[in-house]
Amino acid sequence: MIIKQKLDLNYTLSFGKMASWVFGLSEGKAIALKCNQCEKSSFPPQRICDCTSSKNEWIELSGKANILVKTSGVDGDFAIAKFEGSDNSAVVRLKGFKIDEMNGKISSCDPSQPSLNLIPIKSGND
Amino acid sequence: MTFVTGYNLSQFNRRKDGSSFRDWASETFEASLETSSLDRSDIDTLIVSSESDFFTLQLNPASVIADDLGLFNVEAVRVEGGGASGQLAVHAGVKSILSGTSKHVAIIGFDPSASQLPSETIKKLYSYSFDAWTDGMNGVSATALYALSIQIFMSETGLNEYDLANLTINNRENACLNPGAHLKINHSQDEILNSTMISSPYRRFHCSPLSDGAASIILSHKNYIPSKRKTAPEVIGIGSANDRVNLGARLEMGEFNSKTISMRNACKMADIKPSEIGLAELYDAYAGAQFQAIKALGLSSNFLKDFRNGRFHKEGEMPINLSGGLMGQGAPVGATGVGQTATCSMLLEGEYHDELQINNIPKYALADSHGGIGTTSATSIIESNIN
Repeated sequence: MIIKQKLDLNYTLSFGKMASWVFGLSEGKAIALKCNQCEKSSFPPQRICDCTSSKNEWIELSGKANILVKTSGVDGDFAIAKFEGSDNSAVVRLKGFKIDEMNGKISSCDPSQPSLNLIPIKSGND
Repeated sequence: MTFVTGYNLSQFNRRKDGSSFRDWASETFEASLETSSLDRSDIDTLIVSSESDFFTLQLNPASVIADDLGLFNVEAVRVEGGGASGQLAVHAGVKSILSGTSKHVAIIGFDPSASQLPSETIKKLYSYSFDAWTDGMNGVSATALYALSIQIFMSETGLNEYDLANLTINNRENACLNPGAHLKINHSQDEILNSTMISSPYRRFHCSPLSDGAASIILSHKNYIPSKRKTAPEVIGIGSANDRVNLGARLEMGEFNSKTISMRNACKMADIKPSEIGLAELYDAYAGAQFQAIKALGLSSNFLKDFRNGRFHKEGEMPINLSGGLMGQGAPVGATGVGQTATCSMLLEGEYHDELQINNIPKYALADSHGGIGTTSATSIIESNIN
């Protein structure tokens, strides 16, 4: 015997310290954490730096990024990209990239659906 | 000190017979209890492994499973670590024995990953097993993350799409000889290379399936091994380690470095070297992940040459994933790590499926799982006790 059951979950998500990062995504801004000890910046932000310091401050990056590797298929287009001014890399959703385009910039998103999206930088469009 | 006195795996597949995960857990426990020749009243501790309450729609699953198994007044807990859940549950059992807390521990892994929710829902839930506030919000799939990592690995090692196809063929060929396996398919290379692109370079046939199923083992302290179980294999080493959860935060995005540390810890406890391992069950969520695991675990000084020369084939010097692995046997997540340990134990005792049982039983076997994309690794080394 089987029965069908539906579960609706309406979460109210709070992001605490990470709210700056999430708010930045909706505004199309790359908000990173800069370590006060070793001065490395992380985007996505890391609460604890690789140097193990927890002392850091929010900074805004230019939002430009260089794509290191891309994947595409029925699951969508994604990439690992390194944002200008960041010491780590980020997994991003690609929007409108051609195969040979490897440079992009962050784009804004629906505030209710925060997402790290990258659009291509066309010549004369940066 | 810790011996695998009981073991069993249920059928891994997509259930269409109206049975539930609680049925599979009960059946596999009864079978492993029979192997161990113990009575249920001998069990001090129950450890269950299930990846997500979303899959089972049951919070605190250990409480209901204990009740179903007739285990009363025992410690009953659940261990969860994504895809590593089962192997971490094995570790929790070993620690319970080593601490003197338990004489006999039952470990049951299960998940209804195929039949209870639509596959698109499972896929969305899996995307939350990475960092839900970064990668999860992007909607990136597990396949896409693994695809990004393997592309870097391929560019650094020379692994190519034909190797991915041939590994897929190997694992599914093994699955054809495993009566309990989910995907018993004899693929051609062309069929794999022309299957739907999910996330380049991963195509549909490079992916492990969503499966239902359960697996169990019984661990016993050396002073309490039943007289009929004198050849039970011993868990001699366990190790676990993590890596940064964000792929982009890692220095080597193509490598599963947590496995290297996990293996080092397990080998230190076992007092053996990786080169002494004679067979392995590895976490091949995707075809390339098996190569990444072989390299990270130090099972070969030249994994690509060894693979192409058949060293890891079922007739090879060091067979890997004789069960078919996740790609062939299937992937009910909570059951996979427990199933790996059960499979290694059966092989080391000469009790595996007739067409897959190797004649020259090695001294040591390795069971290795991970959660996330090589984020939480868990490794167990098991020693044969038949000679």
